[in-house]
Amino acid sequence: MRTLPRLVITFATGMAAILSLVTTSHAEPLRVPVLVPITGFLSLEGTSQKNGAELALVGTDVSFSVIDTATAPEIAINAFERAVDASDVVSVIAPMLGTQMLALVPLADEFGIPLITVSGTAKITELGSPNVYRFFPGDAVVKAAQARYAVEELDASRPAIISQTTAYGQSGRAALEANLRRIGTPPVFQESMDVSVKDMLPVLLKVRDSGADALLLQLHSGPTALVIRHAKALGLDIPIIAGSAMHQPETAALLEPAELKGVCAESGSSPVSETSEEMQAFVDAYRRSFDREPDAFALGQYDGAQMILAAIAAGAQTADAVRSHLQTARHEGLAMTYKSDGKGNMAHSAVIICYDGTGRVPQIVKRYENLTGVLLD
Amino acid sequence: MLLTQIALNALALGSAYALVAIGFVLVLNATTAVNFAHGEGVVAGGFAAVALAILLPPDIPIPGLLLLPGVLLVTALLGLAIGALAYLPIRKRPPISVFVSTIAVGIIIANGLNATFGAAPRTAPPLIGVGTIEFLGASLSRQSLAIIGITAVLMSGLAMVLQRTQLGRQFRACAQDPEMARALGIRLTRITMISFALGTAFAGAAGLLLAHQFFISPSDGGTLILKAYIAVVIGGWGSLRGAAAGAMLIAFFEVGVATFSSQPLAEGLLYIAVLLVLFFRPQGLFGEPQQVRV
Amino acid sequence: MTGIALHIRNLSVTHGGVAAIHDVSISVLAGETAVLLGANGAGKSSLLRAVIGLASSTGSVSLGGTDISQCTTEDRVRLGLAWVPEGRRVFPGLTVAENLLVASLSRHAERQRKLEEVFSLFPQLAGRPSDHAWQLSGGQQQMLAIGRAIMAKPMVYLLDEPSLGLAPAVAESVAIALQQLASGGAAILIGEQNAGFVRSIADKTIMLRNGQITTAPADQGQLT
Repeated sequence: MRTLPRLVITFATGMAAILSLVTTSHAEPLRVPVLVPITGFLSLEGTSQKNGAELALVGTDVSFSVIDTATAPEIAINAFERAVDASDVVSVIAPMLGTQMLALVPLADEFGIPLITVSGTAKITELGSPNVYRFFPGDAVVKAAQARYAVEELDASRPAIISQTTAYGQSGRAALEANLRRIGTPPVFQESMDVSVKDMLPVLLKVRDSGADALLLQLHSGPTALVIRHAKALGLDIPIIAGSAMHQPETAALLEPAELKGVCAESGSSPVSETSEEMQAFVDAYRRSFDREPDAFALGQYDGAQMILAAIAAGAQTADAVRSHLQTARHEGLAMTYKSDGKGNMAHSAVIICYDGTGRVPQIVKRYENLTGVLLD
Repeated sequence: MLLTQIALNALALGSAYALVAIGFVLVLNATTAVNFAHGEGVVAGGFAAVALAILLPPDIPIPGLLLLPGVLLVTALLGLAIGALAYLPIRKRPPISVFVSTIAVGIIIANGLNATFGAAPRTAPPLIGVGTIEFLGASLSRQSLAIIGITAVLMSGLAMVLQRTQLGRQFRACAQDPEMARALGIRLTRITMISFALGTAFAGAAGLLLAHQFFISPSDGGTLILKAYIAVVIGGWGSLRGAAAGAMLIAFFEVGVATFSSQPLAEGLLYIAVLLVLFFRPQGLFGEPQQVRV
Repeated sequence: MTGIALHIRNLSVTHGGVAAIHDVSISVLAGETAVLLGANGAGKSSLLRAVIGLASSTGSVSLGGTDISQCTTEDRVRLGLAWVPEGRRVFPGLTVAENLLVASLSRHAERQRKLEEVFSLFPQLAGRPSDHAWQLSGGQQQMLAIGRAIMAKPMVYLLDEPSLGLAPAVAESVAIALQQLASGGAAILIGEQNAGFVRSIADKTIMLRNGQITTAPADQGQLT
């Protein structure tokens, strides 16, 4: 009879322990910090990233906080270290600024946390890291689309390239040149510009003097709009095929519809140009939440965040499990189907949008699906 | 034809830069202090134009020129605020205090604009419409002509005030010998505040002139104050004429030299030119040899 | 105007811990020319700078009966005090006419009238109104500096070493001009080290040495 109280106590303690274990394991929410450039020269794109991620994550069980990484790599590093200080970080939405991504990749490897980004800079998936997942088509895809459209659809035979001196600009320029050469039309003129240059007349005069019949741009938003404005002012009438910056509504807002005539751009997608129901729903929700138009960066980041949520829904509770999912799974996103090519490039399709001169909403004129062949298996 | 276009562009850009540099010198002469918030005065002018354009009916194309009085008023008031907050309270302290306080005020202005308008570049309406005017076989950009014309009017107005009015004489006296000016009953504080208002208004006008062709972002202030500073170093510390000349030289390098070489090389050559001036003629092209520079 | 135009009482000025002026009291009547005579470093400039308000001091200064000790320099000038500093300090980049006009506190019509008055007092200036001040000789600059003081129609003139660097003939014409100002009712206080210059115009002479008055005001006849 003396052992009964001891038994009861032991049993009760054991039940309490099991109960507390069970409840603790679901007490902490999983975290996905959002590190994006909201200030500085990439603020437009960074804000799109933030909005896309937010739209996907708000209202879910995942906890997220937004940290501004501005433009310097050190700020991104500090932000990352602060963010992963908390436990239960399963993934990080990482800044799309190439120089910052390059700085973060070693840290991501050290902490074993996968980075989800929409950066276009090629190098980030060539460092051999298993922790980079790019939800925007890389240079291999969009620069191929840009070059092919200029040559195959617009019959350009003497293309010129103007690029930015940043990592984004230079890796894109190299990919453009390689693609043009591969299809037999090497560029007749190339120049690189600093982000701060405001007067584009000098470089455009050189483009004109080179006899170029198409102008390909690999520039950020402001400089892209400046080139177009100054080209029109100069009377330079050759078609302009710009980089993804030109698909952004804020870039188009800087120009008059008449200035946009004959301007095309490559992009992973163009949400405002699509007519499907799901895309319309996304665009409406985005407009309601942020009072602006969504662009491909926002959509790509949205899709990327959705894939993390899909991983968690499939049972992933740790960074390693999420990474596993990203490495192997196929995700049907809004913009396109995503699958890793083994290096973290998830997006393999691109579109070309063009403005017809009557408004600021472009049309999708050509789709390039599965340019890398990854989606076939 | 090529040369005409380059020359016109350089002249237009140089005119806008000249307004910035002249505004900078006006404050410099009244206070012997460098106003590091001056670049933000240009940016504020550009955004004032953006804001005023938003308030106007969207269907009627308003020439940007009509926004000029509003822009001048807004930036003149901003100048008074900068003078009152960043200069007057600490004017008896060494010049370094004014550097720091104006840098701080500049950051506040830039961040305020960022918070209000966002960090993205914005554009203002063209001054007198887009397109070109044909003249003697050359296509002259309307925007460039408008920039040059407006600058000429503003500079003539300033010259008239400085040469023909009592206020202008007081300005010049304060610039040459502030203590003696006080000893003649000239109210130095009043002249200082008017200088801040006028100098910042000139900067604001430049912002309106630049905003259509080159866009305007809240973070543009830093580059602009650097250009003003270089213009004044080349032209002569404290000389209005020198500031305008220095500004034209900068535009000549940015547009002219860049066309025949490349942009990075043109920028490098400009800075070499600055070093040469500092080495061989430290008082600047138009400066007096015994100036004290801060 | 009659009576005491300028009354300095127990004025002391300190420069970096050293007393440049110690407990000086002077009064100058309207129409009177008083001279502070002393060598270099005696404190003449310091005293005059303190009276115009450009140097801090203790003691009091009254102008025409009004205590101006707490007034700023600008206000003292507007109340009727004028200062012609050592070295003239005309504005080099302004023309002769501009130097004079900028010193006027009146409106346009009155300004022009005073300008004509100064030109008739100093015909040398009348001949070259558009020349820049840096182009003038030392004597002409001195006339310009005095003319500039006249433009504000002051009650009291403070002059610091007006004869410095001037040829005797030029100094003579400056002295005559000062006499005319005094006979017009203005009080004049001159700091000088050149006794010969002031001999003919001083109504009283005050000896200043090491910042203090060494002898009581002397009449003109006692100057050596």
